[in-house]
Amino acid sequence: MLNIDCPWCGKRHETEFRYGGEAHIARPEDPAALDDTEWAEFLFMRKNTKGYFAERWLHNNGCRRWFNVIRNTVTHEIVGSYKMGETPPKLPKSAGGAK
Amino acid sequence: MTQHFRTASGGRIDRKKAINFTFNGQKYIGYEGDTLASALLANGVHLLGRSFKYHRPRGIVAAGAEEPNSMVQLGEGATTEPNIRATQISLYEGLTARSVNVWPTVEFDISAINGLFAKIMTAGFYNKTFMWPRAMWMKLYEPVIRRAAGWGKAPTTGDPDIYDHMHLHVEVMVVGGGPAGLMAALAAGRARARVLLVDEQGEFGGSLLSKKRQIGAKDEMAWIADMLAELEAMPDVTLLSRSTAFGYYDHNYLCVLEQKTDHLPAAERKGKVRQRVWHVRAGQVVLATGAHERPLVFADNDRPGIMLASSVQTYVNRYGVLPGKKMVLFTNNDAAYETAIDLQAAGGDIVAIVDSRAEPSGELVEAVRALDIEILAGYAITGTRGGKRVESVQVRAIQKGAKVYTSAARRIDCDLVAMSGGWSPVVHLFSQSQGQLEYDEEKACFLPGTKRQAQQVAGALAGEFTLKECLAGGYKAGADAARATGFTPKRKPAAPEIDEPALGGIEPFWVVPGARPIGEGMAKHFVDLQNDTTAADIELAVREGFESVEHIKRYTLTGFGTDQGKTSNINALAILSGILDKPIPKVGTTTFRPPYTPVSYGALAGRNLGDWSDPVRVTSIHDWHVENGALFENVGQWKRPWYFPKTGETMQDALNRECLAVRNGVGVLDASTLGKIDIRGPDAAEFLNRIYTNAWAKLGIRRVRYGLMCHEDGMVFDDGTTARLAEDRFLMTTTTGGAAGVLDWLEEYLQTEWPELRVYCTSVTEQWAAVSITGPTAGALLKKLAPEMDLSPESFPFLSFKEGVVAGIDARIFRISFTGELTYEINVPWACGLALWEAVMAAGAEFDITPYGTESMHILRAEKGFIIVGQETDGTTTPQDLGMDWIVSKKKPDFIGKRSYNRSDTARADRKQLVGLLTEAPDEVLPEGAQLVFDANAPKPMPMMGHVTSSYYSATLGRSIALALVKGGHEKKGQKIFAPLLDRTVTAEIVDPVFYDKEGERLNG
Amino acid sequence: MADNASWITPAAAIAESFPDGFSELRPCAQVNLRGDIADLAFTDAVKSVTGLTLPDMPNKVATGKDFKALWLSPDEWLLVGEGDAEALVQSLEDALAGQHVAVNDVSANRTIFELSGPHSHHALMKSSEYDFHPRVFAPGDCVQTLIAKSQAIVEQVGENMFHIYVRSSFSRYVGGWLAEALAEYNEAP
Repeated sequence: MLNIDCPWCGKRHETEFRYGGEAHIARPEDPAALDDTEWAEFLFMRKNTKGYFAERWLHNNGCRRWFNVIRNTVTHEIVGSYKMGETPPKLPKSAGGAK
Repeated sequence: MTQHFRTASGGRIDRKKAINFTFNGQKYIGYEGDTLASALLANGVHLLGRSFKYHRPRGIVAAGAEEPNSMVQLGEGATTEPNIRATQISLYEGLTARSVNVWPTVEFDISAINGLFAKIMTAGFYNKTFMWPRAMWMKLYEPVIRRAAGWGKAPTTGDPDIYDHMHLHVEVMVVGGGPAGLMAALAAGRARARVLLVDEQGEFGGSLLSKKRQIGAKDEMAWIADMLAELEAMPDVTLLSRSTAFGYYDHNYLCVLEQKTDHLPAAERKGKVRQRVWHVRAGQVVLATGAHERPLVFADNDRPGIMLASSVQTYVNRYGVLPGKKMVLFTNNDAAYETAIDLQAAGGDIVAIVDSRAEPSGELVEAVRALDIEILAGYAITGTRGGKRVESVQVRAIQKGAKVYTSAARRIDCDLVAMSGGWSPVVHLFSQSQGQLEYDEEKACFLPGTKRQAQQVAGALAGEFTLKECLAGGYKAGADAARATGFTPKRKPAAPEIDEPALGGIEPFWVVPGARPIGEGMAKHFVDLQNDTTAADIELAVREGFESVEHIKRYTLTGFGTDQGKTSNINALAILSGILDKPIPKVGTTTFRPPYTPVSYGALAGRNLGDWSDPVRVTSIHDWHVENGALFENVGQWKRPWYFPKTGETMQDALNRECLAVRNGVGVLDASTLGKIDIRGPDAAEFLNRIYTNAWAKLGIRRVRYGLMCHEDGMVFDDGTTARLAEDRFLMTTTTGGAAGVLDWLEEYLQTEWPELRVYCTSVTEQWAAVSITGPTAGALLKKLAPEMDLSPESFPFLSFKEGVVAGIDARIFRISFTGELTYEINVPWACGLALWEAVMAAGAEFDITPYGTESMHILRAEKGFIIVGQETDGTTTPQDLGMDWIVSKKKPDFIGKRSYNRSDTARADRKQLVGLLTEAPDEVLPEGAQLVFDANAPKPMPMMGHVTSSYYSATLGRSIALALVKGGHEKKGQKIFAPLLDRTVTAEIVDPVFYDKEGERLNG
Repeated sequence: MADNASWITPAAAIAESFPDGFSELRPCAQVNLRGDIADLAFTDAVKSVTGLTLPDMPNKVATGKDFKALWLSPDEWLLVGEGDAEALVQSLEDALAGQHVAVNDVSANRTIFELSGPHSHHALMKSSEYDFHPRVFAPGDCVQTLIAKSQAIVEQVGENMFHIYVRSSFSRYVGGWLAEALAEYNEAP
């Protein structure tokens, strides 16, 4: 069970949150200006990253804020979380783990 | 029977407290402090069961969680439990247990004949033999194999015991209460961290409970007692014995099974929590899980009386039991020599020590020599004899590197073989936490390597095999853990003088050949005793092409038993490494998964059973529905009245009555469950414009509009009516099941996409109870309840709302309609819902008011062709598919979903579209979900053209009606379509989905 | 607020089964308030009506003479007090006129349980994954989390005393769950 750091409420168990998929996919300003391929790219195409991945979470059983998390999809290590509009934290170089 | 094998004195048992118990129908006596295994051994019982595949006699091998053999069926009736290890059952008065996997009895087991056919029952035997013909598997093979092979039996009635869960947060969790774990807890506790220490046994002390050691001025028992006294005095240290950490999950989340009453006689368990699962979140975890001794793999190494050397030592020292009186010790390391010394001191005879090393030396070896015990250095056991108990062993001088030993065989009589193949650190939890293992050549074992979580390792798990190392390593691990969680450890206490023998090295010896090559002849070299996997099976698997350790494991079943291969994994790996001629680290290890030891379903469920398995949400009117005979339907987590049958009515009778009452008089529905969201701010109308498919800017104040919500892909996901309370304020209703999801959706767009919009959303679902009165006389009823209110269509038109007093309660009344009839939905503060409902029922008596439930609601709306999201839609349905183009704005430049309507997939003509169906036979009610085809005689598989989404008998229309999604359905009205069912094919005509009052004339009463 | 006599939540029907140290409080005024904490006009207006300085620290409670304010989110608070919720809503609406805020009477939306006594911590540990240890959670703190499988706000009002706010529709589930959680501690010693 993940321990997720809500930028407002601090670390809480995963059960308090809802997953929101890949982060930083902005809705196009003018969807009508996009051709079908570009629109499909926005609608359907998501990264399937092995390693550090920026994703959205909602603290839906808490303060109901949406925010972003950087999580290693292999180790589940969470590097940090940040509010909407904030700059993501720097990624560690190694893939996590310590001797 | 008396306890012939009990030592004269000593042990952690209370000889004054005799305990009566029954095994396989025979009565025995043991002592308080015994396990079932130690008590049986004290009574000379070694034969506990039969092996899984060959039904060979099997006895006790170990003294703890690693035991592969001695599983029993514990207790009787509803509380019986299958496959519990006798080594882990604390003895209690009145205990009853039986052998498993025996038929008819353990002494005479008919399936032992399998042993004669053992040659053909090799790895993959069941896979190969019973694959064909497939049909025979269910009818013949499986029932017979199950009877012969299955382990214990699950209880057939419900579990009457109480289980629960507890959540705990600590800075430092220590797993394992041996010397290293106790020191770690002490270090962290002294640093004032919150500490949890768990140990699977009834007593803390771990390996110290089995060995005699002087620690400074104290003996081992006094040392343990002092440690516990100090820890118990710390307010934020929690000590849990009989508690197994069975799962190590992400971010230092561990689950611990505490067995609270399993050691008590039945009478003392009543009303108490039997088992509790602790869910622990720890800042740091100190793993001090110790090590398990490995068996040696030699010919017929599975007879009862062949045990692990350290376990023999445990039975002697901790339980005061002699597992045998004439022992042969077989070892490849020094540590096992201590068992010989202790057994002899307790009155047993050591016939010989068979040491595979050519030149054993060291303190313990010399001590044994001084006792005048024969040491056969450079020898191995190459065979055993005995029926239900080992009677003799055959030994030969080892010929290094040879596949076959030609050296002279010597027979040694004995009643006990103690074996030691070295030590395997208990890396299970470390491995579960994603830690990587590293092979240590010198210690001949896997040790924790790269770790993935905030943790420390200590004691034998970390390769610290002496007590001195354990104490120092344990303290350091506890102090480091405390420091890492922000606490300052106290200064390290001075290391005490410890009286313990120095240990020489281990020489790995993975499998012992004999006079014939392994696999030839009748002898079996068992690797996994629980699954009857032999060294020959592993060789065969390799010959058949398997090389990956993960494949070998699955093919031979090594490590797949309930013991998770605690005694077999490393031996199997090493043997595989020998066959493949690859070093052990290159062969790799398998992954350990939770649970470490089996956990009952009851414990996993805790209190989340029955009424608590999922929240039950009820409205403030719920109890009235119950008292008035409603049957209920689950809608999300809500209980909603389904229908209200009167005495003698069938379901259809009740539905007919309820629907006709709405069409001809007045019905009343509890609509409190709809989600309600207050939406407020200068940009609220603009926000709704973007969220809904239709236009909201011009909606007048006190007016109401129906809206559809779609995802960006254009698919409908919720609907409802929204009222404009003020220029900058709306009250949105959502579907009953969709409320939470819609609020999340709104917040997601406000917080992430459009933070510039000044809008606040507030959930007010349970602020408002809603009572909906509907039917031609609804107006007259409301007039009676709210005489002051002007209900004329001019003052109170359809799709508007009013505020006023209804039945003395401040209320909002909405004129909306889901039935097609004149409807008033009266909203009052939630906790006043029942008062309003009762007032409505009283005032409605003269109109013969009829309460109705969700089923009639569904029929009434289907007659009108109104959709239900989730019934007519399934996440692939657009508004256009539903024939609801009228609600999709053509003028708004953008809203969620709009762009997707131009995608080729959403624009194609053969999408599944909503239509009505009228069956040829008017009484025929199609099953919902039925597949539809245009050609009932087409060869199978027939091309599916759609499916029935809703289907009812309509009393209003005197016939059945159905809604369906049909490919290109909008253009196919008037055509015939067929529903091929199991026993018949139903013919229907595609029609318009509005079956009743197409002109909407009934809305005004 | 409507007449208290007709004010019934689903938990009331099972109140007789509640053990010592556990009860459902009688209804009080609850108002949900949303606004911009950085805007002095907003905080001043709220203070003028309630006497409260809204907490800007997450999961804190500000307590005044007549009301207290529980932090719910960076722009949302729950005002709780005795008295008339409608009057409070009206005073806030008047004082906040022209501002971008949301004021909602939610007195019926949630019911409040009081959990007290030496085993209140145990009942919470059986019901919630949140850390209610006194080192972490103290009087003046509140938290939104799950009690069993229901959303809830837990406020510590004193030593070993907690108020648990749950949606009214969940009140029978949560009330029954907590009563049962306490059962093992309520047997005669």
